[in-house]
Order: sequence, then structure tokens, then C-alpha cells
Amino acid sequence: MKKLFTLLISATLVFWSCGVDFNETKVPVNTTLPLADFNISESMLLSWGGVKEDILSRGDDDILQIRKSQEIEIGSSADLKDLFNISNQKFLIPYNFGGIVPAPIEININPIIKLSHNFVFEDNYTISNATLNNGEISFNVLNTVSDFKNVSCTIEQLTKNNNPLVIKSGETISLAGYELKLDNKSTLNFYLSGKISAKAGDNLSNINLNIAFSNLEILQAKGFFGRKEIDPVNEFTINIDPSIIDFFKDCDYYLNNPQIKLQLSNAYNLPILVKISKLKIGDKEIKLKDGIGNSTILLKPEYITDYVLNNSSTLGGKELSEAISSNISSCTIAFTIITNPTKEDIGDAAYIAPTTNAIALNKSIKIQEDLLIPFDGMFTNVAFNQEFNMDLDNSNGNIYEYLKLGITCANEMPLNLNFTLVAVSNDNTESILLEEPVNIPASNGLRPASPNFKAGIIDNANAIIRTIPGEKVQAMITAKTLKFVFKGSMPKQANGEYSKLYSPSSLNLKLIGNLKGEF
Amino acid sequence: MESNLKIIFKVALVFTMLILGSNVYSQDNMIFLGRNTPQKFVANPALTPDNARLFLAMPILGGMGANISGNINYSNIFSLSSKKAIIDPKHLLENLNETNNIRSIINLDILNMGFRISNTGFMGITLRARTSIDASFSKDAVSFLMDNPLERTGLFNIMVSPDALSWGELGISYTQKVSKNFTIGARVKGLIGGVSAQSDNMTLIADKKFDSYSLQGNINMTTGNLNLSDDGEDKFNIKNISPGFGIDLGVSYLSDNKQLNIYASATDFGRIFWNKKSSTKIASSSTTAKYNWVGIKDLDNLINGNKSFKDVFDDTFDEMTSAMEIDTVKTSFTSNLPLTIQAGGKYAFDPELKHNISLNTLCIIPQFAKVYYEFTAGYTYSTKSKRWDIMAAYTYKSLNPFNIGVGGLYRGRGFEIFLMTDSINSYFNYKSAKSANFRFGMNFYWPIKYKLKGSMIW
Repeated sequence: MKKLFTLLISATLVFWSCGVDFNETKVPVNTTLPLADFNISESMLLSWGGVKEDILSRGDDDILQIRKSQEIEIGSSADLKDLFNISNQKFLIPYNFGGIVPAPIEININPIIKLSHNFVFEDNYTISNATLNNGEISFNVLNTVSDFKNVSCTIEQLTKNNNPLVIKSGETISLAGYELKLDNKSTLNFYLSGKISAKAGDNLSNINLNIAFSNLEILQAKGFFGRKEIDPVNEFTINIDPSIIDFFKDCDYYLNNPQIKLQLSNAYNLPILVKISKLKIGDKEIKLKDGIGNSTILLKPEYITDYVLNNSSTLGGKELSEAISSNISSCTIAFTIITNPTKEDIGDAAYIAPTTNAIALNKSIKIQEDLLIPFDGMFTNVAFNQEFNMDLDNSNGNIYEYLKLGITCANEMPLNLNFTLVAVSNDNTESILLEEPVNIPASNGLRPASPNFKAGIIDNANAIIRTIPGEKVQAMITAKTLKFVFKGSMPKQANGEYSKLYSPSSLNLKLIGNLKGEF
Repeated sequence: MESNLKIIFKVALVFTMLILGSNVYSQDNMIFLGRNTPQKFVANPALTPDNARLFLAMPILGGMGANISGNINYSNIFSLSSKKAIIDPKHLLENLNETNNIRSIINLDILNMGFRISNTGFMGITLRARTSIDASFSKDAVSFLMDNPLERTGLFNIMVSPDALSWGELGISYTQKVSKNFTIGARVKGLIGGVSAQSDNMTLIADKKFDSYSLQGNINMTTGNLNLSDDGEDKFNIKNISPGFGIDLGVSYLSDNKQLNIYASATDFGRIFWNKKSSTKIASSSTTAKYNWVGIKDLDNLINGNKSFKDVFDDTFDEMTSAMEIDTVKTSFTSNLPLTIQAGGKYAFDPELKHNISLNTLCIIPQFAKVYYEFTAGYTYSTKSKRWDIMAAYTYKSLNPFNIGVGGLYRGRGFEIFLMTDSINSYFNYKSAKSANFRFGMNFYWPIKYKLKGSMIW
């Protein structure tokens, strides 16, 4: 048995001596795997810079632009309401029905008496035809004790459902829905009929017929509504999105071609002259040149007029850019409106003004106001940072020697960019992974689709390598988030012209990783 | 579809590492140098333990050992620093062939017993848990992982083909002495599949550029009781039974003077029928479909916070499997057991059977992996008391040509114990050994009461 135990013990020792702890075995890894192929569009990059993507759009020349819009409606409400209001009309018509009555009598008005009176309008206001939205008519007979209650007044020029308006003495009738027709002298004819009951001694020689129109409001009308100047209609302010203000907050920038685009829809059959009476960018007032196309816009009847206000509309030729480049907070604009403007108002002797207009209460003048700021210019050192959730497997016990990143890119944007990577741990400690940032040159500034376009590439070989040391790889693997930290500048072109950021354009960034370590 | 390719890589890597570092107990020729033991009886049902009325191999410890056989050696793979084994990629890659093969069988004998039912008949019962692992992999598969710096570009021929299956078996054997000299034996086995991952030739060709890979290849693998489909059910599920059967056959000739014994066996004729519920087949329907692998492209979802890096990385693998037309379907299929054929002979120069020489050959034919074989020439000295067998042998293995084996077997009253290895040189210089093998066994006997001519009575 002793021999047996000796044998067993020696065998055990032999195997223990060569037995290694395979749980402790490390598999060395030196492998290269593609990590990412990112296409970062121009608008995405700006959104990394804090600009809300919904205020970015593609402009007329395919240049990315900031667009802030608002719609203003003029008409139907307060400012143009005068057009639809007819001043109260009071017709006091004296009439002689035949002197003092000797004995009680009933007088039949036969033949029918026709009386006329003219509507009185301000300025050159005339109506040939109108449907009334509101108003009352009242009929009273004054200066008598005789009974006129069976006397009716028929107005054939006021009809509803083709029936003329008939009003008895002492009545008040609502005119809502009545159609009013007037001749070119605005004469209204009244036809009296019926029976007068007079007592002995009544004097019928000096009877005043009182017909009054009050609270008249037009639903729709044809005519000529005269020249009215409404100043100012209102002030309208577009507040620039705070994300834009933040974006430009800490950088030098110049925006070469800001524009205020107005689309003015005149639903009235009535020419209207719109004057920009005030334009302010932030606190700075911008002086505009006079004349149509600069500070005034003629809205033809029932017509949509497009108008662009830019640097050339300003007195100095650059005020809009300068103001926006110094304070991009808000844009305030005020309008004066002149209806049926004259040749003098327009400053055009050849202008032939229309002689008839048509208006309707449900119509209006709408102004679509777009403040457009294209990325046409320059800016320096804007941060475009973006965080991504990591949530990778966190395998303990791995040893990381390094992670080499192979980087290639194609930059279609006229932006000089540099980037680094930052790992943010669960306790919000930041660790810069790439000590030396990667510089990505700008494109040659041409439109990406143009034949001579050249994208910006890293160095000349476009195959650079950056090494992340082991302890930082550990920080990266266990990070809560990974932050891409970009800084970008849009410089002037070599020929001195401002750069334009075209849409679509993108930064294509490829990352491949060579991880060396033990697992 | 979940990232099955990733799982395949992981499984392949795990199998490779398991083979490189596992303790295994394998069938080998060494056991045939000694007297008939229960372990020999398992390998050839015609070879019943000598003079036993009843035997019982000690459960689990009845067979214990280690075996690795490959065409690379330990020091090619590991460099040792204290007790930590560190794989040395430089040495490993210098010593790897373009194609490399490693094989092992792990057998755990839970029950191995037998009893004599007549003068000529013997019955045995075995309950075993078994695992057969073969793997082939290309040098590039290792260099892709271990020697693939950023600057290296060009083709990687990544071939990883595991052929691994495990099963449990309950066997009932019957051995009959059919004539004075001949004995035959057969064992019928009922099987239950454990888990399998098998592939005949899985190759991925990766064309590496500075910033991307172009991938194409032949991806195929079956996984038994390993659900790699994305149906949300458990990956590992052995509750769904995968049945199978197996047959072992053996024959033995013993000369009248007992000096010559010739024997042969074919074991593990059999199949496992993997159930459909938790088994999958992964196959690429095209070997020309390419995928340009550039990493994560899904920037929008990352920014929106809808997905993390891990999610989009998984999506990239989905896109890869889709582009390379790799489908994973739940399906039933069958696996053949690795057929083992063993034959040999033993000759004693003297009537007392003291000096014995033997020649043995072993051949294992797995379903997919390369055929493995070994030849052993040995000498055994048995003491006069028959208490000791001392043996020495030379073995040629198909994956490793030079192995010197030694062993000792002691039989006491009612029990025996043995310790042997077919590759003692590997222990003296284990760092350069391409094989490692070790057997330890302990068995209990109740001797027969009646005498058989020429046999030993205790």
C-alpha cells in the first residue's frame, strides 16, 4: 500500500506541477474591426451645434438657411374695418300732405309718393352694390299728431330674396342680409303709400319724414372705396430662435445675405400700397431706400405679390448684414397701408388706378413673412458636440493595451473641423480619448455636385491613425456616454468670397479600430 | 434576426479555447496493454474483466484523465508567468499550420458495472456522459484575432469548423464465449443528445482595406439544443429531448495457451436525432454574396437615443447576415456519433504471461472533422504474483508522431487501481508536447467461485 500511495502522490504532484489555472488564461487580442461609417449631414452637424433642425431649410440656391416665418393677417379685423363701415345715415325729408285738416279724415296716399335722398359717404367712397352684414333702418313721421301708422315706405333698392324693403311708420327693421343698390349719385328712392288718419285741426303741410340707417356694416360690396391711409397697421416682431442666438453667441460671424421675404396676398379687388414704415433688427433701426421694391410694395387687386428685402434695399447697402451680424435677436417690421393709392403715392405718373373695387368682409390681406438667413458668410469656432449612449458590455478583467483608430473622411462642407472623443463616466467624469484632435479641412467651397468640387480630406493620404492608450480604452468601454466634440469654422474662400454651406452636403467619417489587449 | 454571426464567432472561439485548455478523458490504446479492466470492456464489449463474477468501476473516479491531441504544442500556445497561462500569439502563429486540427473526447463514467450470468455469458450496464470535440481552424482565423494590426491589409481566410457534440448514454451489453477461443460482445445504447455545434467547413474570406472589410464566405453550422434563432426562447434548452441510439461491437480471440490475444471493436455506431424545438441550422445560401463591413452606420438612432452603440452594433451583424444571405432556421437534423474502430493483439513470450508485447491501432471517424488515428507498440511486464502490471509503449498519433507511454496497474484483494499515460514525454517537457494523456482508474471486484483453467483465483 505504501508503494501505491507513493505512486498516487507522485502522479498528483506531476500533474499539479504542470497544471495551470486556465481560469486565469488570457487570450491576447490584436484585432481590427470597423467601428463606424458616419454620414453627418450639414443640418445634422448644425443641430449638434444646438440649432433646431426644424428652422433649417434649403434655400433657393441650395444654400442651407435659417428660416423663421410668421403670418400676419390684415383686414377683416380692426385695421381695415373702416372699409366695411358706412356712417349712419339720417334722411329728414319734409313733405306737404295738404295743410290744416278741417274735419277728421282718412287720406289715401294715391298716387304713391316718391321721395329721394342721397347717401352721404366720406371721401370718394361709393357703393354700387352691397350686401349688408348688419344695420337697422327706422322710419318715423315727425311734426304731426295724425296717425301715420298705416303709411308704408317701400325702398326698392333694398331687397331681400328679391323683395323690396317695406317699413311702416314707427318701425325699425334689421338690414342684415339686405342687398343695397345705389346709382352713381348714391340716391335712394322711397315710395310712400297707405292711409293717413288725421283729426280736425291737424296740420299736414310740414311733415318731416325721418328715415335713419344706423350700424351699417358691409358683408360684401362693389363700388369705390376711396383712398385710406392706415398708419401704422401694427408692428410685427419675429423673435429669432434662441438656439440660433446660442449658436452664434461666442463666435465671430458675418452673414452675407440675410433676407426678409414677404409674400403678400391681397384678396380684395382693391389696390393697396404697403409701406414698410419701420424695420428693426434687434435694437437697430434699418433705413430703407424709398420707392417700389425698396420700402413700398404695390399690391394689385386680388393678387399675390412676392417681395424680397435684402441688403440692396437698405440705404447703405449692407445694413441688414451688419445688423444681423451684430445682434441676431429679433426682427421687427411695421407697415403703413394705403387703399386705392394715387399716382403720387406710388410715384409713377403712368399708373392707372382702377375706378371700381370690390371688398368682402371674409377676405383679407395676408402677409407671409420669412426671415431667411442663409449660411453664406463666415463664422469661427463653433462647437458641434454630440453625445451618444454607450451601454457596451463591461467585461471586467480585460487588459487593454491600446486602441488605434484609423480615420478617413470626406468633408463636403466649407467648414474647417477638428474633433476629439470624450468618454463620460457614470459619475460624469470626462476623459479626453484623443489627446491630439483630428483636423478635417474644409471642401474647396464649390457646390458638391459641381465638376470641380473637391471634398476636404485628412492630410493628403486620408488614412491617419490616432492611438488611445489602454487606461483610456478602459474609460471608453465603461463610459456612460461617448461624446463627439467637434469645433468648426467657416472661413472665407481663398479668393476672398464668403463661403456658402450647400444643402445637401455632408461629412463622411469612417472609423476603424485596432484593439490590442488581453481578454 | 439576432446577431448569429457574432454567436458563431463566440461559440467557435469558446470551443477552440475549451479544447486548448480542457481536462479530458479519452479512448486510447494504452488501456489495452494491461489486463482486462472495466475500462477496456467499455471500449470493446468482448473483453470482459478477468475472472470477475461482478465488477463495479468506481463512479466518476473509475475513469479520470486528460487528453489533448493536436498538431500544435503547449508552448506554441502559452507562455507561462507564475500560474497564469498567457497565450503567446507570436509563437502560436509561427507554429500554426495553414489548417490546424485538434480533437478530444471527454467521457464521464457515472456507472460501469458488469456481472457474469453463466459460465460463458456476461452482462454489463454503463451509464456515461460523453463529449466529442473536434475542431479545425485556419491560421488566419487566429491571426485575424491576434495579429491583425491596423496597417495590415489584404485577405484573411478565416476557417473555423467545430464538430462538437455531447450526449448521455445508457448501454446494456452482452458478451458470449462462442467457442473455446472466441468471444463476441455487443452493447446497445439509448442516447439523449446534450448539445452540439457542428460544421463541415465554415470559411469566411475577409478582404481588409484601411477602413473596411469586404466579407464573403460559406457559413454553415448545426446546433443541437442550442437555439440560435431569434424567437425569444432560451438559447440553451435541453428540456426538449433529442433521442438517439448507438451500438458497440467487439470480438476477441484467445489462444489455448492464453499467450496470444487478438481483439477488435467498432464502437459508437449511432445517431442523435436533434429535436426541432431548440435546434437550429445556420446556412449561407450564397458563397458569393458580399458584405462591405464598415461598422455602425445608424447615426440617427444613436442621436435620438433610440438605440445604444450596442444595439446598432447588433444591427450591423443582422445586416451582415442578411447581405451574406445567412439564414438561421429552427430545424431537426441528425448527427452521427464519431465512429471508433480499435484493433490489436497481445502476445506473451512465456507461459506465465510475464513478458508481453502488443500492437494496437485506434481510428476515430467524426462526422465532419478529420479522421484521427494512432498506432501503439507496447511492452507489459506482469509480476509473478499477478498483482502488478508495468507497461511501456510508443504511440504514433496522426496529429503528433512521438509519444512514449508508461503505466502501472496494481490489483489488491477485491480491487484494482491503475495510472497510465501514453505520452510521458509530455510531462517532462509539457511545454512542447502536442499531446497530453492521463488515465487513473479504480475498480472493485467480486471474484468468480468456479475455476477456469489457467486463470487466477483470489
